[in-house]
Amino acid sequence: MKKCFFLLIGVIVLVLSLQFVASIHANAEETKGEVKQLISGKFERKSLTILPVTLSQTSRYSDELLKGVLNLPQTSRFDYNNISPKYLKVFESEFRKSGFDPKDPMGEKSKVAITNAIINSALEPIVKIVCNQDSIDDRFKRQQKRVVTSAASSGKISTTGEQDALLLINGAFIPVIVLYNVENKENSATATGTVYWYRIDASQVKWDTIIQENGSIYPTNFKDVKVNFVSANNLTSVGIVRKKDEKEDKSAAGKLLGTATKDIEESPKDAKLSADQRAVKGLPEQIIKVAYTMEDFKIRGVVQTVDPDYTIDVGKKEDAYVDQGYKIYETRLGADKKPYSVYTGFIRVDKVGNNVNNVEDSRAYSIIASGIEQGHVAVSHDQGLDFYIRPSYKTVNIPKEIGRLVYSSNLYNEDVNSSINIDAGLYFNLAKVTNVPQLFIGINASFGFPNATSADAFDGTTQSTLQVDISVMKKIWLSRFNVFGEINFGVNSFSIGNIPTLSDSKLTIGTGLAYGAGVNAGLEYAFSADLNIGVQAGYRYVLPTTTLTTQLGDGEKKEYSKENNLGIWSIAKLDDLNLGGLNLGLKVSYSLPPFF
Amino acid sequence: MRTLLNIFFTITIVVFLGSCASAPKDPMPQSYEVQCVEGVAGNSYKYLSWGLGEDNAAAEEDAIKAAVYAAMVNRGSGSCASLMNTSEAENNKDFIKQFYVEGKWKQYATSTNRGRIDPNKRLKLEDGTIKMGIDVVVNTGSLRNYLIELGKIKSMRIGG
Repeated sequence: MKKCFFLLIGVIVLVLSLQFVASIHANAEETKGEVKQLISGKFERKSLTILPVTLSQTSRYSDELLKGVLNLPQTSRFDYNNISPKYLKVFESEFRKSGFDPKDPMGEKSKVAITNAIINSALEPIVKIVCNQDSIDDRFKRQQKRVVTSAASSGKISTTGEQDALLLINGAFIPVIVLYNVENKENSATATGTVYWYRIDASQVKWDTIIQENGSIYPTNFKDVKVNFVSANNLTSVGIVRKKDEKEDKSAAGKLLGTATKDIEESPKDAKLSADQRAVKGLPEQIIKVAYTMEDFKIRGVVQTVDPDYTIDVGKKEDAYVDQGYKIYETRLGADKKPYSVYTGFIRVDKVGNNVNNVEDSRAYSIIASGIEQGHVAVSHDQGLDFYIRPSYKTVNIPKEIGRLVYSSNLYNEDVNSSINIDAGLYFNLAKVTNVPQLFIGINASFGFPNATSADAFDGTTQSTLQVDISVMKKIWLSRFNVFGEINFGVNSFSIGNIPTLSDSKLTIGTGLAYGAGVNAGLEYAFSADLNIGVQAGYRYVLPTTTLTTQLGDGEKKEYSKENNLGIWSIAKLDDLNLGGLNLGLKVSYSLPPFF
Repeated sequence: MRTLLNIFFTITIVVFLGSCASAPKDPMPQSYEVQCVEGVAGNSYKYLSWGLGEDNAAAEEDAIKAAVYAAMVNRGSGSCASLMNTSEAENNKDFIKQFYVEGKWKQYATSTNRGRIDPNKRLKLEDGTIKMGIDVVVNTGSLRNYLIELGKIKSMRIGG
């Protein structure tokens, strides 16, 4: 028992130490300068032009796939630059003529075939639409958000230059979606396909431009405009025909978990679609979900003010949300005259600006500020569940006579009044639902080991405490530090296990689950955007136990109530058993990336 | 002896205080890195102008100064002609300096960025100086009329 305990503690300390060292290293890397090579258009808003194609075996779904692309719900994080169905058909025709090999869809030959099909059919219309007046106006609007330091008077200039057009072109992504198969089952169907991500690279373009009457500007010479393969993802979409009385579950859980795209209201026309048609039509939506996980499509903004509050020029329009984190970078020019970006801090939004029709920035507060200045770039850093691990010391009262539940001797020489515990849990940020910053709901489990040596008679047995609860926690940040308060509610138990019997099976005797509630408070320090280390103290009140349980091996668990076993309660002094009390712990928490 | 000591201390104090006083700010642009982008509305030129300064505001102001300087004196890179030729610029050095001292350059320039910082065009140099690129439109039509009025350039110049 002792060996196991010390081994466990050793492993925990080792894991924590390694994590700590790793985080220090990572943090040092960040503060020294997380240098990222700056690429053209890195901080520009991106656009998508989706090109759908079917293979010969799925060609009958061509129209549904096209409808799915053209009717995609608008998302604010990037622009759609749909080209007309006429060009899409031309692209599909070019694609079919290309050397795309369905047997080796990820092979170099297939990727090159798609590249050539894009260049031969869709590239020019895409570049034209990327640089059209709407796109330019939109970019111009984004550029006019703030007036702070202009030394000269301002006036609207309606034209733009080659550099603006170049940034828009380089921000253009071309996802090519290939529908491979559609499988039907009763009232459902599954469509599978692959999306190939391509990106335009026009950094070396020699401009031979035509400025249109409407102000658009684009190159007419496309020989220097490249199309590069970026990545590929498999996609699956399920279509279901619901019965009339069956409604889709749009519970709060859906909102809580968050979805990348907004729901589309089903039109009467769509209501007549079969399951396979629905599955195909839904496939392009999966592209948007993939895009949300890609580095290039993270929300990008600019730090507008740093005093008295941090503000960034993103908001509802970009789907920014309360508690969304942003990593801040400064662009620097090296001695070799090459630009690079350096990590300067981490901020978190506490008030989302409504910039849909207004100019309103989002307000944020700093967690890590290593020289954040106006004009630095803010790149969204989404976080999912917070996982924590916490070695802790707790006061308890375990009467020594509790051993008499097993043998006619005491378990310990004296009553035990403390335990060493290892706690772990997950916190989910409720800010998306409640709009209250840094409000979490958590699920926690704690395994404890009484801080005493058991009597010889109990050699080979194990004694442990268990606590499981749910909690609500609120954090308040003061720069790198946060103070937090938490209330929790759950159950506690104590058990003696691994007790030898006359049979091969071991016996476990334990108390039933006793309800308890508590409060905790603590202080944490942010080592990085995702890693916090802190201390916590608290108190928990646990009701006296009123049941006992026994279990032989994996057999059925038997329960004994106090009122029928007063004698046992008296002999084992179970009324003196108190699994509540004070606690003190060291907490390490890490924010996991979002799952979706 | 005492008088000598007094003079010595007085000079020392004056020199010390003098060294403490900050040097007057040079009214001329610190940067001359300007690229002419295009003509606008027949009477203006748009420049991508890079300014240098200790902070964003100073860098932006320097960029606007540089754009006006390019329009008036050295044209920058690109295809826009400057209003003064080499000899006119040489002969009007004092006028140009006074033009900047009096802040007259502000009347002829418009920052299309309106203070908005393009993150691709805000760079920190190794010595901590901010280098910022902004689009500046210089009203070369008005500036030319002003210079003609003062007799600093001839009225028939082509360009601008």
